[in-house]
Amino acid sequence: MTKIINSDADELIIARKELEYQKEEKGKLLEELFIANKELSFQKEEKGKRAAELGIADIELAFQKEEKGKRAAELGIADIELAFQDEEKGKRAAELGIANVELAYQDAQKEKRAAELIVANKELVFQNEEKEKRAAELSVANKELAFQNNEKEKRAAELSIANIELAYQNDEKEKRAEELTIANKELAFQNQVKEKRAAELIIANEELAFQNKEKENRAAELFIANKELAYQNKEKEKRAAELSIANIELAYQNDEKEKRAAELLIANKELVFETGEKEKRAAELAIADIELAFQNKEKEKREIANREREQTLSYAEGILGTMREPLLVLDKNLRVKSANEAFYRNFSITAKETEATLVYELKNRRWDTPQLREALEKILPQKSAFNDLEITFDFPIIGSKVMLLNGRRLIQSEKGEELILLAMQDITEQRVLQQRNDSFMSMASHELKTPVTTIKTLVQMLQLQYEKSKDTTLVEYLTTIGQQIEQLTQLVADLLDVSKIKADKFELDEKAFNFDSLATEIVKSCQLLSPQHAITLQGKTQAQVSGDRNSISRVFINLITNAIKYSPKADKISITLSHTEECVRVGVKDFGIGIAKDHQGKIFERFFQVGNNRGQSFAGLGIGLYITAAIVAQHKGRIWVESTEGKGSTFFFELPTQKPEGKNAHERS
Amino acid sequence: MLMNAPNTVRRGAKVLIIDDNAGILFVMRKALELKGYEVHTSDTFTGIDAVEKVAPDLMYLDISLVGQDGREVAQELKGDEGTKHIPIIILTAYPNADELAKEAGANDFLPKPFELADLWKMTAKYTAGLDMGPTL
Repeated sequence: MTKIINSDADELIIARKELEYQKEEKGKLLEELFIANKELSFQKEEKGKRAAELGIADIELAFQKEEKGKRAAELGIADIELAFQDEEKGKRAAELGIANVELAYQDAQKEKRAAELIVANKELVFQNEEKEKRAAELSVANKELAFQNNEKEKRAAELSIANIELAYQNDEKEKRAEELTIANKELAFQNQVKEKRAAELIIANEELAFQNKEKENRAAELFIANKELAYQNKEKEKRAAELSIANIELAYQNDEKEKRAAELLIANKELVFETGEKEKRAAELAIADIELAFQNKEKEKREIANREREQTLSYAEGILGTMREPLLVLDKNLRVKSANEAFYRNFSITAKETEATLVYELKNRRWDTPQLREALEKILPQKSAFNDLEITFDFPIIGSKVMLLNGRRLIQSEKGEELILLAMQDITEQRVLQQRNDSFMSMASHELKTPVTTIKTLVQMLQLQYEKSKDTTLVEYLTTIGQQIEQLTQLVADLLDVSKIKADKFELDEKAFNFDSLATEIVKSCQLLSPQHAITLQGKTQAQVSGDRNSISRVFINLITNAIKYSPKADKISITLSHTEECVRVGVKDFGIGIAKDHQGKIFERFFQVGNNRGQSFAGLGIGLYITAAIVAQHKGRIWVESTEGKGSTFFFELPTQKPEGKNAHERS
Repeated sequence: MLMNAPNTVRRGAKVLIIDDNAGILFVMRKALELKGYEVHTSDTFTGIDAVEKVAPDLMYLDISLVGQDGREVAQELKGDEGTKHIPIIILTAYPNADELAKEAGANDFLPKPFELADLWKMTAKYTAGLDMGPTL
């Protein structure tokens, strides 16, 4: 038990101790609580502060959100830009890649060729001699060429004189044609008058013949009546004799006598009547005589008129006779009504062989050509005319003749007879000269091509061989020779083109193409020709043109190189493009020497050069603008120039654009 | 263009050139030999036998030979069993080269003045398929 008590006491002690400990702990806890409360109130305060700060921070945040939104939009735009640039970069990288491959390939090729060229070089050295010989030959050929050029210029001068002569003759011809037309009208009028008078004369003659016949009839009747009278007189006498003999019987035959007396009375009356008739006829004859006298006077008047008409006719024939140009007048059945002296002379034919002959049957039917038939047979039905129809006649003795024929319809006004006036001009000689000139040009350019080929190929081979040489002088010389050979080649081609244009053999390869891109291309390449001139291109046509792109390039290049050539002191050339519904127009403006007014019409002619007369010299043959104009004309366009001497020139050309239905326009061409 | 001319000609492909101009013969010979061709030249046509003796794989023929018409020469060669297989290319400075080649019955034409590159290309076109032995 004690033990238990003890233990109870112990427990009490322990419990007390425990309690004290707990009290102590409670105190500590209270202390801690107090501290914790303080802490809490501090934290509450802090929270308040932070809430305030948060409010400020919220405003700040909203502002930043807005800014961020703006920046996101900017970034979006920047991204698009970046993506585009990436794409471009990709493309360029691909292009560069291709170019690099190409370059690497070309380098390899170049090296191979250099090796080959070195081999060839050795042989070339051994053949220097041959080259020198050829150089000598070339110099001889050059002299020949210079001589031929001289000849050519002479012929050009001769031709230009011949042209002036021709123009004069054409003028004269036109004047004569006019005079002839007037003379024909006069003739036609007089013919009509003559025919009227002839008709009147015929009627008058018929009338006269009728009256003569009547007169004769009456004379015959009178003769019969006279005979009757004589017979009756005889009868009367017989009867008187019978009466005296039958006096004795009369007494017995009184009845009969009375009857006969009555008969005699009737016969007497008849006689009186016939005498009256005779008097009437005499009066009529007197009137007929007066009529006849009047008609004789009329006849005299008509003879005078006929003489006058013949004089006019011989005047007209005199004009026709002195004309140098052969002339034919055909009737509506194409038979020759008349011809002039020149015609007989020119065709070695007589008037007898000509007049009233069908035109096609002249000179053994040499005049029977389809061209002439077509032209002549249109004139009267279509009331048309033709000018400068060129026909070549092949005559056995007088040879081939080239004639220019003009045909007109003539009317003899009141009678209305239709005639054809056929005037001719013999251009045989002129044509022969022209042909000789053209075939010379064709031959010359052909012959020039062979040496050009040799030199060109040799230069190209040398250029290949010395491409990488360090001898810059050699490379420079070869480049210059190469450029000059190209120019020579172009000149030869131009000469050939001129002869083709003259012979109407200039052909175009027509296709539709974009005009603006051609212009851009040309301006770019022409800029390389003259760094001194800034070549500008303004405007757009936005058109498709159907034509020969190469030829039209030449038109552009010729005009721009001319602008460069003739403005050596200027620093710019401006090219403008414009368009209408039907055509595109190009203007090439330079600020150079310009063109004198009286030269402006001639610059598109063959071999014409501006500047020759003023001491200023510009190289060239004077065929560039001739070819240019021919190309434009063949495309149915037009070309012209506006210029002030000393200030510069603007060359314009227009070409028709393709119709909106495109394809058709192309097919037509 | 120049750089792309084929360079794979086989040794011995034979080209015969007939032209009356020594300069042309000279440059064509040099240009083609540079490419490894075996070149024979003549300033006149001396008959079918002479051509058969050379047995060229390709012929260049000028139209205006001294006293001869290249068109007739071509027609004669094309009409002969022994030579009709040889391709003939007409060389001419006349502007209507295409028509002349057609009249001659030739295979092709090369108008003068030509570019070196075109001469090589034309020659390669008619000899490229030939197997003449080891490549150069």
